Amino acid sequence: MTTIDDFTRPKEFLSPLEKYIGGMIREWAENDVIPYRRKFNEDWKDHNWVEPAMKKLYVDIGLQKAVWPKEVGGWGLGQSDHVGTLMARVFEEVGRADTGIAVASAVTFWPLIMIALKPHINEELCAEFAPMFCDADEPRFAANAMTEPQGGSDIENMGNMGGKTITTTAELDGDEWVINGHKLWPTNTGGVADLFGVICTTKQGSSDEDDFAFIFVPADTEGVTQGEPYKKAGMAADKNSDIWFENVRVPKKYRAWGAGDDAKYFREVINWGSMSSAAFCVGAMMNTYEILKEYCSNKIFRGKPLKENTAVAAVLSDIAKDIEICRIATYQSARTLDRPELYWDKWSHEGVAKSRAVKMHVADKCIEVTNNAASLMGTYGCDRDWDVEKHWRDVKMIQLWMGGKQLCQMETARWFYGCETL
Amino acid sequence: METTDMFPYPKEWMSEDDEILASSIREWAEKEVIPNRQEFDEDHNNELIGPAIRKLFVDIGLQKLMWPEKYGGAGLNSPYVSTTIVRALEEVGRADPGIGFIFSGTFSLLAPIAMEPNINEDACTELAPMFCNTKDVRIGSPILPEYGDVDGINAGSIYGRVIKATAKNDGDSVTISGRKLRPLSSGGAANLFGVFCAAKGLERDDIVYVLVPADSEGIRMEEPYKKTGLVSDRNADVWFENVRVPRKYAALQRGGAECFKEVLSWHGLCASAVCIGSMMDVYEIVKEWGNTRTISGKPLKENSVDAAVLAEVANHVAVSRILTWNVARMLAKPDVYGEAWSDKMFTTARAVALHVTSSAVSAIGKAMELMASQGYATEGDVEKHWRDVKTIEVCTGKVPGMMDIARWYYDCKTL
Repeated sequence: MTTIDDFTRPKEFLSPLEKYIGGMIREWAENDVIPYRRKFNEDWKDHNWVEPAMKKLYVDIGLQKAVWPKEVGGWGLGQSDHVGTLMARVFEEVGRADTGIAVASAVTFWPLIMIALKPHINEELCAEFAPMFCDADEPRFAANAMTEPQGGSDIENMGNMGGKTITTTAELDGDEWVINGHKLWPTNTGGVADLFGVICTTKQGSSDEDDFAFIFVPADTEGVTQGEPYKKAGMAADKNSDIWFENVRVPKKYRAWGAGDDAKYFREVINWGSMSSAAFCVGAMMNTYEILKEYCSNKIFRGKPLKENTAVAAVLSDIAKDIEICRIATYQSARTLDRPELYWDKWSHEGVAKSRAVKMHVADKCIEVTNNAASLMGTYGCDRDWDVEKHWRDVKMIQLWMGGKQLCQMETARWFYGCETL
Repeated sequence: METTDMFPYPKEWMSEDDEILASSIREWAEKEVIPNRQEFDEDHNNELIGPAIRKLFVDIGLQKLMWPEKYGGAGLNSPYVSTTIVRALEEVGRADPGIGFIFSGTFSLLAPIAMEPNINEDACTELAPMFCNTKDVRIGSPILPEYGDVDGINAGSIYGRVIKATAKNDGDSVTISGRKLRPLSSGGAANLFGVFCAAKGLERDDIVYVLVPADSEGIRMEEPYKKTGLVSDRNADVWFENVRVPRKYAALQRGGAECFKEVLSWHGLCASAVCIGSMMDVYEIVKEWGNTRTISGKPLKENSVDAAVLAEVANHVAVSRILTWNVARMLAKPDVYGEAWSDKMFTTARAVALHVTSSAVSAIGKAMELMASQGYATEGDVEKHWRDVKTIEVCTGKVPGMMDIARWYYDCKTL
């Protein structure tokens, strides 16, 4: 019988570890998430159902150690030549179970890209922060504090705005950075994250990339305040709130790299965010396929199983076609992160444009797939017991984040068409 | 300019009374619903939704609307009620599509017995007081044919859908049986069900439409199931175990297929009107966002990429509204366009309902794209509309609906 594993991906790109790690996460999904995920909606504030699943994934399986160098207690995947496709598989499997947990996991990994991925490993900061994640019996989360109340997608739009609208400031005072500002909506906030990567400016109003700063701030630093999590349409396993930084002082060395390089490697962060977003969507689509296959085999319309009606089969075909194409594109996008020498620098504008294009396509298709699946199922399509509607609600947020669809379009157009004013 | 005037609708089809009713509903929405609707998802004890429905159904009197005057109703039981209903449901949908959907089910369920020219005097005499002589909310719940189960009871079929319930002749009574039936709406809160059944030993030997009071012996209503949206509408699966109702509650003088098409034509109109109200509210919200949000140094709406998305939102609202009002007019003029149960009118109403409900999902999804996290957050007041209209769209039945359209336009013989 055909299963989700029959959707194609380029096999020669895969990591030797991917079968083993992917299998562990599949088992975790079946035992610890899928039976309980219908309770997540009501659990959005307290995470009583979400946290045990997170703990198994982060601590027992050990995902929170994944990218840290082996020398500081991690798995060392940040130094691997297969980290891109391996993470695509990990996020696909987690996304199949719950895209909210997938984003919480990926965003924990996100700020660490700045300092723990080759060729730019900051050994001093790895030694400083790795124990927080690698020597812990409890789940540890990180978050990128990017979006601001008035800045919106302009913050992520480095290609056009160059950080001009960032209002969170970092001033050097002796051996310390003093940070002030207000961030809105980062994943893993509302009291979840232990470590923030804060996007700020050393000169407010400047569009010079040298003034863009990426500074690590432990969440328990004096002057950091987090709000209550927002209630939202879906993604209940991912908490989002406000963060206020008020005269927050951290050591000078907590700035990831310094003038110019912070902005450069931040583009790689965007590149990874796009690939990961696509992988979550592929996982959600594959689970939708599984559910739909069962539903359409067991429900009767016009005297035969739904799937044997040609009108239904045509929709099912489109769904399978979209998953097939999106999965191949996502793994190809991941492969470019593993082989920069063959494709492009991970932090290049080209890399950002192309990963944005893939993310935009896959997220749009994912919304279409889950939307059409729910419509096929009639009143059961909106019934939470069938889980398709949960995926539909959850994945809409993937389309909206990191500056939203319109920024993806502008970044793609800027590179492919040489636009100069976008 | 008011949003209701901004999007065109044929005003010459409206009466002054229609506008008075719409104004009352607008006032109800502003006071009773809009300030509280962000809390509806967690209103498990019905403390916010219940009083709001009561004011609309009882105090404003919507639940009496289509019962004939001589039975205590408002007497708006001619097809001319269509434009009144559309204007009213636009206002209800603007505030909360869930409450609009409850009324849609209640209204359309009664059409086969209370709407001119097919008034079933016996059934109206018996059932109208339930809605008209009370200070309590009364809700109707239509149980339509749906997809069947491979290993389930499939008692009959109509246009490809499976009928799971049966109605058996039992002297002066009819006995209804059916397991795990899923109503279109309000299964967990209904006072009256309208059930399509496979007829056994009755004058009609095919399909019969039967009205069944929810307090009849042998009815089991499950706990409402959790769903994407429309939280105000407490829908649940329903079981009928040898439920006996008087024969006069069965629409035996009319064909089951005729009643089915009539119910769906009216329900499609109502669902479309609710979605238009929902879209108009989102239009107002995203317009404010476009005016006040700054992107690339100028208001969001002045960026051409964002303006193009805003245009799509407005397009969906404008076209959907024109279509819906035209269906209302067609239903109001059966002498010109055909009866609500005619194949032609049924097909048009289905086509417009499918178009408008999916336009609503698309328009509100586009508004969310522009508003990003604020569109996704409950406090932004958009995501609830998005979930609500999607729930309406799936309940509209896309695949069977497409077959309904193809059957008439292409003379399909087996659909």
